[in-house]
Amino acid sequence: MPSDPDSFLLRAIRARRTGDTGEDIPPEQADDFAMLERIGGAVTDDEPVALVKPPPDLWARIESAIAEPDHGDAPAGEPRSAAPIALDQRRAARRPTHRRPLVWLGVAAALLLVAATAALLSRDGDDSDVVASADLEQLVETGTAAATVVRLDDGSYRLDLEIDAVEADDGFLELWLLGPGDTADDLRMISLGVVNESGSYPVPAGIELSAFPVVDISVEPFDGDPSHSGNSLLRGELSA
Amino acid sequence: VVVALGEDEQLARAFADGADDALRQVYERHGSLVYSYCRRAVGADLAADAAQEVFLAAWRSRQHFDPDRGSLAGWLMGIARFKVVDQMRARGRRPVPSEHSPEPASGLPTDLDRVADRMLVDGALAQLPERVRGVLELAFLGDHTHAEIAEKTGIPLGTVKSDIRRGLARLRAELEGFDAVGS
Repeated sequence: MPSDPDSFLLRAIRARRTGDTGEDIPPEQADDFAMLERIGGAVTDDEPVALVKPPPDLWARIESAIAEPDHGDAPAGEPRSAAPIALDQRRAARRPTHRRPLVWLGVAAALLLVAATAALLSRDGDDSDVVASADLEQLVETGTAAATVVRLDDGSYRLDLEIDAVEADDGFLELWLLGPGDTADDLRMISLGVVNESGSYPVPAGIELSAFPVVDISVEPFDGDPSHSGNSLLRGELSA
Repeated sequence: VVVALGEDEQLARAFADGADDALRQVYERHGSLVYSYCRRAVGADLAADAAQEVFLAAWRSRQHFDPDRGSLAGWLMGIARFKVVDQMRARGRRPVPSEHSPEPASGLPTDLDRVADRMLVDGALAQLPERVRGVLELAFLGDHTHAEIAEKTGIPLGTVKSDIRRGLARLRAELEGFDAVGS
């Protein structure tokens, strides 16, 4: 905790009004500062939200739904349609930045196609260390892939990838986590490495997984450029 | 994070253990919170369905709830957030963009997150002892230092400090519970 919690708190409370970004806050206190600022925002910013009583039969509905084991699971048999993907499959012009703006709408369209294979937050027993999974949808005609994110004992995460019959043609496959950037056509990307076959990939410690909800496999040419080629083959959204 | 959750803690642990009747008690305690949030997000017609899904998902994934990582109310609201976003996507709707923080193109509802924060903080404040609540309000709304609060209220400075520390820990547990879902 900061040496002077009083002035630290006041500073966090005033941060929104004064535009204080807390840039000079030491990294080990940055989370505390952000949290206090967020609490301050919740206390002061918005109109309170009035509580409304639920309909009187809601509990009875929940109780009877729980008695039916299948109810509430993921909708079965969502058609995996081959809708057109608004993603430029060709290699975009080279840019010097490592954050290549792709078309986020393409991702959004792909997300809508992701079959809801995992019931939200409803995994049972044995695999309780699995925190999220995704079936990857084909963006071009190729093989199949599925990803599972596992929480390890030390609190870090690992992504297990099952991949079958995905062709890299004259390049290699690379695994990415994608998340929305600051603008509509900006993506944040983290490379988890080269994919030769099914296997496990460590997720870098310290990243907020919820900010990178999309698993992506691209084909990369042997050109020495470490950035995403813009040529994605498979993609899916992680769901818990 | 060790947080004093008071009587909520017992219920939270009973829930995590899958105890008989725990879900009904959780519903009685937090049903209005979850329902009101859903109603705000997806409207009155769909709110009951969404809230029902939240409690079903919560019950089925109760082993993922960790009372040490945040409050049960926060965790339920975190699940509710996913459920309402699912429902909006399914209906091709987007949450209303906020003028303060423009909605990212992904459809992540930052506006709804702020609503959840506000509801959770309000709910937790209401359960705090009146003295702690008063001290926190002076700090947050009145922008007062600990010493100023002590002077204004006649509460000893040491008590003001511990009230603020305790109160903040409680509010923080609400938001951390919310963040624990999907992270």
